[in-house]
Amino acid sequence: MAANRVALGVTGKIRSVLLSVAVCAAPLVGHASILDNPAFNVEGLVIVWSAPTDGTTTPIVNDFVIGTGAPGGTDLISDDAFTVVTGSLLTTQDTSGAFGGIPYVISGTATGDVDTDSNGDGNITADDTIDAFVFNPLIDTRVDAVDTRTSFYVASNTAFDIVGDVTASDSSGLAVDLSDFIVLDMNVTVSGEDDGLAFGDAAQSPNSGGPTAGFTQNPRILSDLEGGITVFQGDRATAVSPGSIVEQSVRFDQVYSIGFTGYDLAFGTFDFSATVVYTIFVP
Amino acid sequence: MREDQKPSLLKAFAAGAAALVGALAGLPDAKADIVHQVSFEIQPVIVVWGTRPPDRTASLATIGGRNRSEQNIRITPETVYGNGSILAAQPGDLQSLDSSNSAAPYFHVASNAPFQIDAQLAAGQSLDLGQMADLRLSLRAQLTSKTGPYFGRNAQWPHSGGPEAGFAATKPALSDLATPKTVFIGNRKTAARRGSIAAQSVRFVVGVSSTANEQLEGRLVPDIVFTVYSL
Repeated sequence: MAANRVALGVTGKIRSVLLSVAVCAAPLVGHASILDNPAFNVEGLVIVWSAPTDGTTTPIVNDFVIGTGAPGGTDLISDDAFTVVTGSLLTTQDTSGAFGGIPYVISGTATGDVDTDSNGDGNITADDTIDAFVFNPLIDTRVDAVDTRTSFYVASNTAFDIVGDVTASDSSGLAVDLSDFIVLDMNVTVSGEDDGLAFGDAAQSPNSGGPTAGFTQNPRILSDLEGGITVFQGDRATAVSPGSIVEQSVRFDQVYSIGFTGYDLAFGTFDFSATVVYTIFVP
Repeated sequence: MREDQKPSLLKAFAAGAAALVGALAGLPDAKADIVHQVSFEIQPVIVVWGTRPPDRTASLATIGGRNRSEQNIRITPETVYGNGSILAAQPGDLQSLDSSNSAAPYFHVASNAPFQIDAQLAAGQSLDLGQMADLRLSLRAQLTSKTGPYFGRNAQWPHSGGPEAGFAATKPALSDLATPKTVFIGNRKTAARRGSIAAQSVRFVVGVSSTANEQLEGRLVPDIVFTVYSL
């Protein structure tokens, strides 16, 4: 550009020469542009994990959600995972009803409640031993059954909802559909340690109202879920600070019990089973 | 996280990431499913209770199971013999074992399922079996009584045929009780309505009658073990 300014003060002949030189030199001062417009469009990500079904307690990622979703949407990992026994990393597929029965609790004895599951394996078998115990017949000592407690873990960078759906309910041999008498109670445990695996150190409750907030009608009877209904609505991420997936995970706990008043000997014996599918998605 | 869990978790995450890349086209409708197989298998439970000598404080044992040899819960003996057997409350002498005697021993059963009762002399009995051949063991059921502890308000007869049904037609001789003899077979639970164990219990009263014409003398204390189990 300095050469052009010099050319303005000389004769026309020289100007023509210089102009020719300038025209010839023009390509040398041109430029080529390439645009970079950095964008970080971070989609919603929800990771669901629990335990494998091979009897080990190594945690696995079962499923995840990217972006927005829907209960009937694409299942990115088609193999559905199973919940774990609350407080452990044992999958419920192997422990629930595999053999033995639901343990009993005899409440109101002179020494408090007596749990027939003496070895804590979730079932009553010949391995369980209890002592004879004293009670006063005038006191309301009764037989109840323990609850079934299951869990799964969720880590997310966004709010998510959960739909519960009951399928394959089997009340065969029973006079009534027992799903009308099974009660489901859900809540969130923000942090803890299961089978030596600490979770939730970098997590927060996925609903700003706290661990019991966001659940729609809780507790509820199991048959409410037939056809699929929203059981949880979150309003924020579980991840509250940098950390691993496990550290940013919260645990969803489900408690299944028999009736709002518990089991009673008058109910007799039965074998009820149902499949409950929890679908997590970003609304 | 335990060190031995990290590789598997990382592997799983890597697999998940690969699937994630391949599934980006499906973003708008993504979801995740997790499954719980709900199972409530309620097995038979039979609660047997009697009195604990000598002060007759109520004591309790529970049993559950599908047959005599396969009890689900083993009971540590007190007045109870293991595996669901209970020693009849307060085994008395010959006179007190007479079914017409108000001091006849008894025990109680509450159940959510039909059950059977077997009787057998307790181990170590050294009785005059010749004399016991004249003595017959019997049981009878009660839903109410003015004596003893409260029971039966929310109970039903353990056999649909009523109070007399289900008992052995031929009363076994005490001399035959070296091996178990069935003395009762029910066909339904005792618990008729919601309630406490005592309210859902039926009382079984133990009786002994003599087939001999002569007056028996002396005292015998036959410890009889009643085993109650679900069918």
